[in-house]
Amino acid sequence: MSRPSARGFSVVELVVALALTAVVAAAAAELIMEAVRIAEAAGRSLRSPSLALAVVSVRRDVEASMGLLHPPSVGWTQEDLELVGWDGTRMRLHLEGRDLVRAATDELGRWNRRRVLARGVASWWWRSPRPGVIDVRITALVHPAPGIAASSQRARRTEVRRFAFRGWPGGRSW
Amino acid sequence: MVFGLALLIAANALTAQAASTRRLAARGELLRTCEIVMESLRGGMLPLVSGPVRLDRDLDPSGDLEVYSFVRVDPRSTPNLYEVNVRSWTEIRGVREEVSLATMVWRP
Repeated sequence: MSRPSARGFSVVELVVALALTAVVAAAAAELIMEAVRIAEAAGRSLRSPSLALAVVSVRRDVEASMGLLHPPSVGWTQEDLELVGWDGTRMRLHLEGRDLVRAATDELGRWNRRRVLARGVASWWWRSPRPGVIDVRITALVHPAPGIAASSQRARRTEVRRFAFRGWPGGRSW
Repeated sequence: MVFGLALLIAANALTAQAASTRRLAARGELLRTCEIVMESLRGGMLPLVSGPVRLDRDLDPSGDLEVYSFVRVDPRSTPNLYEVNVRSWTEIRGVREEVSLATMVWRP
């Protein structure tokens, strides 16, 4: 009686083993690619805290306002967003180069408060789909991870938010 | 044999890591969806009634996620005061992820 191990492997056995190894390796490569892609997306969020803070700031301004200073354009616009606060002060959100800037008036109506909300902003859009509601879309260049060009689409992050004025005339928003 | 075992272990670890990262990202998107729905209710873009809601495509921040939302509106004993609960959920590899927000809305 001959021992199977003494015969070695047949070509068919080798081919089957290689095929199985290739399938498992392909699946592992797919998993690695997906893990890298997801980790990159998570990294984009972590590397762009200023965008999240800018969104919080815009929300606070809208909630503290009683409305827009001027009638809005129809549809999405890149114009300055000007708000009127309950105390009569005015706030303006606009792009200066790649900075999203918040300017505000003091009690005497002078524009002497200016603050950069976010740097590296690629685009700033807003619209008012109906009175009392503001939609905001901000796209920012995220500080790139090593090996990724800043101009790459993968190094951008977009925030789309909707905010309602509190206490819009009629008191319906509270 | 060793190579196959290593591949299996690595595949499991990578799958678990990818799934947990995806779940975290999904929860962020769900929270954003809840907030947008809540602001839509406050601003009158959506009727203050119970039922499923779907965001406009240009406001849908969920990307490739299939997100569902449901609004529950319960009137309180005080006239014109409503308790509003927004739930958004999706499925990540068969596991349901859900985020909900609750607030009071004054609608005289």
